Amino acid sequence: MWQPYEPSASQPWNFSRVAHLYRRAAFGGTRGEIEAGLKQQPSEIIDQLLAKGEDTSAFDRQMASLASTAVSDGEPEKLTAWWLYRMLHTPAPLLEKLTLFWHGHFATSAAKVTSGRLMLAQNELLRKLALGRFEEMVQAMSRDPAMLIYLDSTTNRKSHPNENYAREVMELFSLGLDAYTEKDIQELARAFTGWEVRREKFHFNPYQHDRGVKRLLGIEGNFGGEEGVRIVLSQDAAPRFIARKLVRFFVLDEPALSDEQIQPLADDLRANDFRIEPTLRKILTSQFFYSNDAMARIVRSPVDLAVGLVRSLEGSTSTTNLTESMRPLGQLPFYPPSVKGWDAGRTYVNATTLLGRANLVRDVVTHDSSQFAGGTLADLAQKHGMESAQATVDRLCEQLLATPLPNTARLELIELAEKRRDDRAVQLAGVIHALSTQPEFQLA
Amino acid sequence: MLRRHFLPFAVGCAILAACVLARPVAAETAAQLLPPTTVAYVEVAAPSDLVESVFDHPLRPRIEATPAFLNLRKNPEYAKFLLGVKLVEFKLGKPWRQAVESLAGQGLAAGFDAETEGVVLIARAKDAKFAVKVRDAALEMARGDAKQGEDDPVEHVEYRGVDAYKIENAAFAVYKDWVIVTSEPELGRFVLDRLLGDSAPTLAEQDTFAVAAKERQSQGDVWSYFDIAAIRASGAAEELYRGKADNFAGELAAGGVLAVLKEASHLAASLAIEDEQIRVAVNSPFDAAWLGEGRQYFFGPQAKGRIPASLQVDGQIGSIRAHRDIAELWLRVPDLFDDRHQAELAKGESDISTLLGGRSFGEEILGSLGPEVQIVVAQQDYEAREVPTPEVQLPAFAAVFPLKDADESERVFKIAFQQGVGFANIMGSSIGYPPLLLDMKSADGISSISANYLYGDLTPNPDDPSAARGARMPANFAPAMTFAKEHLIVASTAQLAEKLAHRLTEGSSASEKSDRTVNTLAKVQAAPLRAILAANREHLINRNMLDEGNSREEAEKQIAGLLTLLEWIDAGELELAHDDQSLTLELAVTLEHE
Repeated sequence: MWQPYEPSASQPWNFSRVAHLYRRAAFGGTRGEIEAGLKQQPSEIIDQLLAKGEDTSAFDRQMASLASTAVSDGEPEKLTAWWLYRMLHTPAPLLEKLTLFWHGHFATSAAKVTSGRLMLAQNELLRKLALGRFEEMVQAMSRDPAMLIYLDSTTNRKSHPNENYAREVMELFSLGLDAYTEKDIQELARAFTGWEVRREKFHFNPYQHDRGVKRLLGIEGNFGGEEGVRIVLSQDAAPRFIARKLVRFFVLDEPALSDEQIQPLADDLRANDFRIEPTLRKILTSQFFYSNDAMARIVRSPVDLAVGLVRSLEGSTSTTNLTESMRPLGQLPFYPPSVKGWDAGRTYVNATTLLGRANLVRDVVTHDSSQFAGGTLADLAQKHGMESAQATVDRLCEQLLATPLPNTARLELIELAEKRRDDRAVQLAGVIHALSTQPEFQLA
Repeated sequence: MLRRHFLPFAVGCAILAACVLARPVAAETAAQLLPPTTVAYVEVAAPSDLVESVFDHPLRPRIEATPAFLNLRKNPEYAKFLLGVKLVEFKLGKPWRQAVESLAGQGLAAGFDAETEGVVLIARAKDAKFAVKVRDAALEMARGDAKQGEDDPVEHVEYRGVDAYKIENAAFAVYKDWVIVTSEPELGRFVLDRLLGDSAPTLAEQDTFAVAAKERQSQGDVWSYFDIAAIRASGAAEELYRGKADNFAGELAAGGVLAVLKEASHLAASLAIEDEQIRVAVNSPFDAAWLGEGRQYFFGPQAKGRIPASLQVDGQIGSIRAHRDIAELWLRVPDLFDDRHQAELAKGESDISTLLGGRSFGEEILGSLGPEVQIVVAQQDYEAREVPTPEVQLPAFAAVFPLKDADESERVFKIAFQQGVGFANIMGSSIGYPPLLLDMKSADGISSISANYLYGDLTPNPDDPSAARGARMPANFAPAMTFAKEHLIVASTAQLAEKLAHRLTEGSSASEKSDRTVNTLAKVQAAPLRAILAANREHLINRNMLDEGNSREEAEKQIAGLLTLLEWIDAGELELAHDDQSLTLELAVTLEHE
């Protein structure tokens, strides 16, 4: 199932599969990127999406400056616009997508943390550690001020251990339900006593640390939080839990794969010292990833919808405006609804959000700040030879949809394009907006 | 096809029209040709002078050298526009500026008639033959644009011996040296009837227009008149005239003006473009009785309220001086604001009163302030303030109020300040702001209470990746209340408060002499404004990237364009003044073209 993908007559390396890789491992690809991808191996594209071998320091400096402005007034609202800007322009979209994955995994909301700087610091930490050892990530999150504020763990006294963070470390971050007992939570909470936030920084208060013997997941000792995390991650359930979440985010929403199907990936994680990158590569270059069981099997998230649309159309737009358009859609970066993150999948789509998603698309393609291929949508059409109404619809469908449109819907779109052929920009905007109302458009 | 050639021609004509208004010639001004139901009227007395003012302005070479203008010249639409102009010039046989002189040399006017809902453009040519040539060229181009086999797009009618034509929705005619273009033939017929000598009431004889024309102080380049009584009666802008405000700051800034507009019969506006200055003035009738008790806070009792004398400090970016009795406004909230805002303001007052230990915000706090208000905005000197320079540099600002009972008020305000600082410290700590430390001083007739952030708390953390950009936002603030010469100064920095207090005690304030009562006067100096924007260049570029979606390079260009624009301006001034019968709002922008 997870063996490397080999193109075959039934699963050829074609436009559709390259576009699939760009949709999942990035935020969609431009026509040029996808066409170039036809001559590359999946692993080469993944290198490209991680900007391997590229010097991204200039971009990183620019983003640091932009982030500084976004949090300059202390409030976090502008951070969402900053991150969307980063997603739109990053030379390493897979790293950005993985950062979004970890943000949903270690969900922390600016609505409660309220400090833009702390949210930004956490975001930078997630990005820095995204591909590395998972233990390092959990250890860092356990000291992250934003996380500790979010989980009410700014003080953790030995007389009253705070079980909140200990519970989430096991239930949501590492093991999942049923892999621990209430007693384990209490013992891990004891290990974290004395871990505090003072003046927006992590602080270890030795006077409040419980130095007694603890018994956690069958292991006994006088350990602190760090060792507690190590014990949790040494459980067999840990790599399985993370592998399952990676598969759900990058491969398919449903049906859930069995433990047996996930186990090879869990073994891979363990074999690689719980480093994320090798396993992620294994997933994205696997036979299963390019099979019909994985293609068009994820509901497009609001971030994928918004960022993917703009990136695919070689665009740029006001991310301040994009943030506002995304508010009602159920996924706003920096504002996950709870510590469980976004439920994703079908929860992204209902009668209200469907209308909101189409409105977002219309807003993006018609907003004054939006540019495509360095100009208008008409320039994009000209650049890619979308001359006739049929070519326009077919090329947009090929690039933007994960699964073909039924012919009746396709013909309606062609008719719409015919009616608006006098103004190419209006024509394309109309077709893309109409396309966004189709069920097929909601899949990635 | 019809549009293809006719539109460039229309664009050319629009250039002429955009600059135009009819020179008042004896008994034959455009106003004497328009119906009395005309509710909007614009006139350019000497179109060629206006063209000269704009196109031969000393700033023109600098504008043309800007990247934005150079980019515009590369735009295909601009090329089409130039082609349209060239086409018009070719058809008319002379450069467009000469064409403007010939076609509208005796003035140009435009009007909107409420009765017919038509727009009319009236030009008076210096050269009647040229007017006919323009007409014939228009007809030829319209016919040339029509597809072969299509009907003639030009409809010809003769009205009382005058040839008139209709193309699409526009009708036009030339009579002697008059050129008439209208969207409504009925309106065109009214104009022609007057030209042909028929007598009927016209706009010129309309009472309010006559008053406005009489009060017209200078010709200006453009003059306009609006019958706002008719506009009001039509139900347009109903929200504006309903008499209930939904915005406290808006009411404070313009409530009195809206009260006047609710009663005034008309408005007249003029625009003058000179080498050194651009001025826009709007006049309306004024009667203190229109204000009632509700808006007395704005103009003062019997509309005698004046602005305070000016206080000047180094690096001053701008100031606003106004007569506003804020306490009176606060007490009139039930009369002036809609229900929702009344409720919000009542809640706000209750919250503030709690913070003030039960004192009434309206009566005890605002009630102790006199109505002559002055707001000063100035550059900051972080070094002198002994704080690190922040990444986003905000100007310092202060409000100066006279005190009715200085001794009693000082005590009350100082207590309120302490309580406010305590509250700010609690709120600030939740978003990571450092604490404020209180300080009190008293010397040389100046007493102050201020709050400062400690230098160490403001110094950026070297671990913070943005530390190189400077200290955090709070470095801009050291709030202060200072008392001097029976005045209260509330400032964002103690430094500015102290400077203003010294100006007060030195008596170095300046009053303007005016035969009118100045109610509000706002001034802005471009050089210090430019300096502060330049200091925040990085921040502005970043905001532009997020808000406009631009790349770094595009954002840099736009911000450079903004800074360049400010290099052309020396100062700006907005004045609201009145006498017993008229109210004037005048905006003057002084240009810097050295």
